[in-house]
Amino acid sequence: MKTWGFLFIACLGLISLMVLPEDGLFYRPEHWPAPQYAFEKNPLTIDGFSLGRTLFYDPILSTDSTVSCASCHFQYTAFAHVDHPTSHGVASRIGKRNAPGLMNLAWYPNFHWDGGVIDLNGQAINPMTHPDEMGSSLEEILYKLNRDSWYRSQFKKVFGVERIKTSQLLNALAQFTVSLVSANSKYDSVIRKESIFTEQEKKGYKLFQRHCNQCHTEPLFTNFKFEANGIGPHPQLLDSGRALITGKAADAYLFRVPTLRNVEHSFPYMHDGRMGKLKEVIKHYASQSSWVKPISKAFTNPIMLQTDEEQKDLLSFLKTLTDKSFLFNPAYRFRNKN
Amino acid sequence: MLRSFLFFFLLPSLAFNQTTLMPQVGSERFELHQLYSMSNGDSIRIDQFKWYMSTAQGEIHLVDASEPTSYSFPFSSNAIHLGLDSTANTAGRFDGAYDPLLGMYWSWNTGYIHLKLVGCLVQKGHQFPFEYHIGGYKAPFETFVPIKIPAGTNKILLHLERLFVALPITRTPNIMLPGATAQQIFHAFSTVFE
Repeated sequence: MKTWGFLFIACLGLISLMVLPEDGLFYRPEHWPAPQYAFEKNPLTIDGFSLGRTLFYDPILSTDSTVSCASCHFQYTAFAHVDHPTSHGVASRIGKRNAPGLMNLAWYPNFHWDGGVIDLNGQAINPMTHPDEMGSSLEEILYKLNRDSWYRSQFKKVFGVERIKTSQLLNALAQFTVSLVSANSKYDSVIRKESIFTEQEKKGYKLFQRHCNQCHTEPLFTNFKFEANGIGPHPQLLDSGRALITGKAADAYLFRVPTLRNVEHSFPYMHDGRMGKLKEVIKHYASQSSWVKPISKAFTNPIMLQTDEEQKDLLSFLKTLTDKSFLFNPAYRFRNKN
Repeated sequence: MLRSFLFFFLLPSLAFNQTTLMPQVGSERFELHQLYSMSNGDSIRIDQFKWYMSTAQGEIHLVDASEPTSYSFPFSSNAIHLGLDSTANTAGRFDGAYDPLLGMYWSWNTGYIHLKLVGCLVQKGHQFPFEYHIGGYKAPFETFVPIKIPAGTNKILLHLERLFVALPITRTPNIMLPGATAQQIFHAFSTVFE
């Protein structure tokens, strides 16, 4: 009897191991640093994750119910806004910055191109209430959600509350967004020794390690810092970036070093989306003479990507950061309320 | 038996130390939307007036002049600070007095407004509207000041005129960011408590 019981439990364990990667919930890849997100304050559950997913895809969060989070964050482009230098919100209003891809957010010490937001839960307030994005207010959103019997029952199921409040709304959204882990690209399988690079990718990886890794640091492919990379201020947007947060002149025109994971699909590039092609970005870094000030110290060593060949090699490596199991993970897709 | 003793005698004296604020301008009780003449000859009207108070025990309370019941609150300690410390600012809590719905949360540059003061100054017949969102928890622009409370009393008088005459309204009518001027206003506010 005992043996059977043990076997039963062992089977359950095995089944759960097989099921877990598919439920979409957060996991920490092997050899990755400890995440920053305070999971103990918002313990993840499958129901909480699904509720967050429904909210993420629901235009109910915008003032005229036309725009959802997913309007500017498509899964198939790593939750960036493909082909939009800067995104449009309610009433086709255009924002000032490129909608960044959403992945591996649990490791970020702060958010936005200027790092002004230090908390993933609080981040969602910005797009929901910004007049150029979803243009709503917390009052309006909570009113609409509390009027909706499906949402009331789901929030009750997940958080045990009769009335939905700000903290539960933010916790639910974060349960989804913090779970968007991308760590299964070809690069990752090479690191795990399950696969090997082609000759060209190998050369590209060497170039990457020599010239890019200092800022786009493995395994997250960002050091989370803020730099000025020589593209110069945008002539119309007049966005001074990190200085808006710190009030320090030295931080003028610094923007977040973005992750390079899934970079092949998350175009356009730069904080204002001014570059449409990855080739253009690589060319920019290779053409030191055309850089515009300010330029961070990180760029004082000349970037040696002199030949077209080298640029192609680097590009082929960057494509190994594409994670199809992330871009097409059914757990992240829109589902009907059930 | 022991438990009921604790409940009836110890608990109230330990925890439920009701603090009551009594804001006034000159000898008049302070009300929103009233025009007050001040000793310097100017007049002032306040339309929004909210601020945080906190204790080292992690209690925080939002006083909102539009809800006079918020002038009384139970703090377990008499060591009260005006404003919030960095722990409270970065707690990542959005419930109770931390709820951004209360209009005191800076979403784009994480932190709380510690003092929101909006109104209009009337000087020599001219009107000067002003809007102050005062906060900050990072050095050197923290707005977090201990206030002195006379021993043996839970009632605190607020001599608001001390704050109002110190406001740099004609020079700097709007403040929405932490900084030196914000800090000076906040310090002026801390002197009204008596």
